Amino acid sequence: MRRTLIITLILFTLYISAGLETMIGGRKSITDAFYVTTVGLDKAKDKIKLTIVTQSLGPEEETEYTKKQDKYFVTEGKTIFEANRFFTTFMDNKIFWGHVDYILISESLVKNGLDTYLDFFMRDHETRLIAELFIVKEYSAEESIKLVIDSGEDITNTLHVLKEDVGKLSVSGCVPVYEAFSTITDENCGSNVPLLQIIEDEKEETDSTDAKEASVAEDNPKSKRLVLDGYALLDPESSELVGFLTGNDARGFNFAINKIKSGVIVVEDPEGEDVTLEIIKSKTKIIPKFNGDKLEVTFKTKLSTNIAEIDGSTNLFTDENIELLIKQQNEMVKKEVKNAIDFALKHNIDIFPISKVVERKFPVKWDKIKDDWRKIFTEITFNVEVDSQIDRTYSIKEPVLSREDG
Amino acid sequence: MITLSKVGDEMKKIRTDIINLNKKVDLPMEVESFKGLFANSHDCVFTEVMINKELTVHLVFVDGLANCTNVMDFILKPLTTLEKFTNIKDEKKLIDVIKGGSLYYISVKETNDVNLAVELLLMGTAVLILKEAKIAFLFETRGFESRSIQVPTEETSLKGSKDAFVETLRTNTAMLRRKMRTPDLVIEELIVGKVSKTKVSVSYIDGIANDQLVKSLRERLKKIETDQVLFTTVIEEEIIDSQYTPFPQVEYTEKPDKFCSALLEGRIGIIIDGIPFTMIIPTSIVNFFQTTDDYSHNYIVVSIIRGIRYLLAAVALIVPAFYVAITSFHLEMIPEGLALSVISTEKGVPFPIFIECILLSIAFQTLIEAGARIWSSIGGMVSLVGALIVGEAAITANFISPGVVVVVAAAAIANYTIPNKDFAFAIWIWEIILILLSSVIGLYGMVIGIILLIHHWAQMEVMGEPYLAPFAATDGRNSKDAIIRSLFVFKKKESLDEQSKINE
Repeated sequence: MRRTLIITLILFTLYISAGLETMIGGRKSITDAFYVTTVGLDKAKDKIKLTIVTQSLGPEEETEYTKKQDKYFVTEGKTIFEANRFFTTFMDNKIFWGHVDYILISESLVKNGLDTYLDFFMRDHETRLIAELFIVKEYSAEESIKLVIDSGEDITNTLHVLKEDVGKLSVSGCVPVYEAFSTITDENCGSNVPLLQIIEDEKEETDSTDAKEASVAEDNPKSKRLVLDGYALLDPESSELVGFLTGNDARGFNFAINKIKSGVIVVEDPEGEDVTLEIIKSKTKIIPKFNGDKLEVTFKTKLSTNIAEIDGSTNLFTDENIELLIKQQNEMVKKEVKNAIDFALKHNIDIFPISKVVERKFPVKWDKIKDDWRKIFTEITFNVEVDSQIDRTYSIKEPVLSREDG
Repeated sequence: MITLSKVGDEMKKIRTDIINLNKKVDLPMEVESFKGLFANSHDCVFTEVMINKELTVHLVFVDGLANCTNVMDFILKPLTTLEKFTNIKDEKKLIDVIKGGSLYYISVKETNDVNLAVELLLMGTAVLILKEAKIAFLFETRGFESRSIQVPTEETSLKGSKDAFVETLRTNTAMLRRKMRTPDLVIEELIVGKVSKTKVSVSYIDGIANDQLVKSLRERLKKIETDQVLFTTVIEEEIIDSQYTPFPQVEYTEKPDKFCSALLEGRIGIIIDGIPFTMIIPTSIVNFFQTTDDYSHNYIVVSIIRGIRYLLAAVALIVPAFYVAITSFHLEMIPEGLALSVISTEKGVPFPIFIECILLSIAFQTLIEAGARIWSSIGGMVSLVGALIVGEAAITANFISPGVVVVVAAAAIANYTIPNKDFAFAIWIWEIILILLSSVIGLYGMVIGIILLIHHWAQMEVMGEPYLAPFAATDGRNSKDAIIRSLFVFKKKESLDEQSKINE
């Protein structure tokens, strides 16, 4: 026992004092790591342009409190892995992929298919499969990253806020890498990836004659913003980009795939004034039914809203008026869902995916039809049923501008 | 037969024989034998008592151990003043008078064995030697200065009793008797230590304690070959089964109520004369997480606090190793914000994180050790210097990062909540082992360390009782009081059940 203790003590002393601890493989000290939080993938001629973003603390002398700062670095390579290795030529820290939260892919790159680029993120042991995928419309991923960072904002945080608030309007969604991968590998259903758009703010028209103001307005280009709106839809077989669903059409798609968290529906009261309804609850069932060999699919949506704002002065809290509002909101939702269905039929892509529901409900039949699914999909008769109600009206029943006696 | 007439080498040799071999030496019962044995001891008083002109006896006692007033008032004074004695012409008559109770002392023994006389003399007995009859009367005149019963210093109690054991064995046993007035409370005594001849008391409740356990302990104590029992570990190391472990296997207490409570649980208590801390065996891991105050407060509150103690022990053991593992191997486990903070605090620190953790952990233990050993007059300096070095200077000089200070300090504070300090220290040793293991292979190392620790605990036994009881290797009978403090109503029932099982 004593000998064991002495040997242990000697080994421990050597371990501590002789620098043997540096020989241990697999160790990567936190101080040497370069935490990648956002990744951008773009097309650069016949190569891939890789943009990585990291967060670091700003110089302490700048502010009293240390402030996070985003830094980005760009390399090019034939593959993502090669581009990643090129970072080692000019960076002194080890790139650590374990904290990648967002992957931005430019529209131009996805035109040739997404599956090729997901392999790196699925294969690498460091990357988290819960990283969110976004496709950037029109612009490159690098441009969108630069846009945010150059404006002094934090790209990762900006994307985080966009993601957190996506349910407020329900015009887009979130698709992590593992989910995108599972849909891409299914040849019968189309994949959807949330769409990032860069929009330009309209230049305010001013009738000011002040020369100084006019010159300032001319110097400043239109300000651009990053918005999360809509989906990019991919082909089931090639995973190539086929088109975009944006705005209320994207919300219709969300109604169909049960991804509505909240949202705003603006209808009119009997006098034509706006009444704003807030979506509280929505649930859609996709019900497939075979009439012989003919497939009929019904989207049955149950919707519950709340009156959020009344711009007119009419008392809406009568059975007739409430019925009127419900009717309007039913029509609007129905229209949005139908638009999404039309998009799917136009591109012959099962984006919902109905194939999964049919497979679950008619497994024997599915085995027979699965090879011809794309053909069958175009022949499906779609029905959209919306059953909505206005549930909550708060305690104020009368509109603020009511002229009637309460 | 060896006759001693003067102090010399022969006498020294005999004395050494008595000490080293515990050999009984055949000496004549005469004052010279005692003078030879205690030749250089100035505290041994030899008094020649002239009862009358024809009769002289010798009285021997140790000043400080024997009560001098009693010796004078109840032995010397009657012998020299009472008419009964002054008229005696020979020793035979004197023996009869003493035996008749004229020296009114409760405990009077007659012996011709010098060994016995010497043994009792050193315990405070006064020896009256009758030279011609070659016998001695032994008077129980014990009476030495002892510390009075005081408030416990190490085990503070809010609602429990405030008395604590003292150095005097008899006072301690009396405290037990006062708390448990039952003849079933057995207090056996043994003499351990060839030189110190320390009285060691074994206490248990007859009918509750396991007879086999008592017998085994008695045998182990009898087998102890040692010169002295001035420290508890002399006894502890002889009665425990696992020698190669930092974990305590004997529970110590200075509180009689805790001691009695343990006896009522069927455990055995050991009291050593001269040591105010008593020992309780057998012990298991749960005993080191319990305090006497647990039974003085609301059971729900205590159960939560006990749970927190276990949790904090785990924190003390694991957190630094976990920090080393995730900052050196598993970076993906740290949230980005926290990772950035750690990186910013580690900037400029020359050591790897695991060395920082080990150094700081040792520094904390150094502060504790210094606080315990430093002279009371400058005791305040430890906290001052410690706070300056650990809290300020080390961070400012970039020797240690603030993140490591937070982690190691949290582990240290968690460690201090373990009621048993021996157990807390052992946990600290394993904390260092886990840090080293996690610095080599990360979380795998830490988990291997934890498995080794549980294996180590699982193979330990104290007097045949599993160390992990009642969590492992038992029928779980006592598990009700392990983490959740059960109500006394249930405990009473359990105690009766246990007793009936033993009786069966």
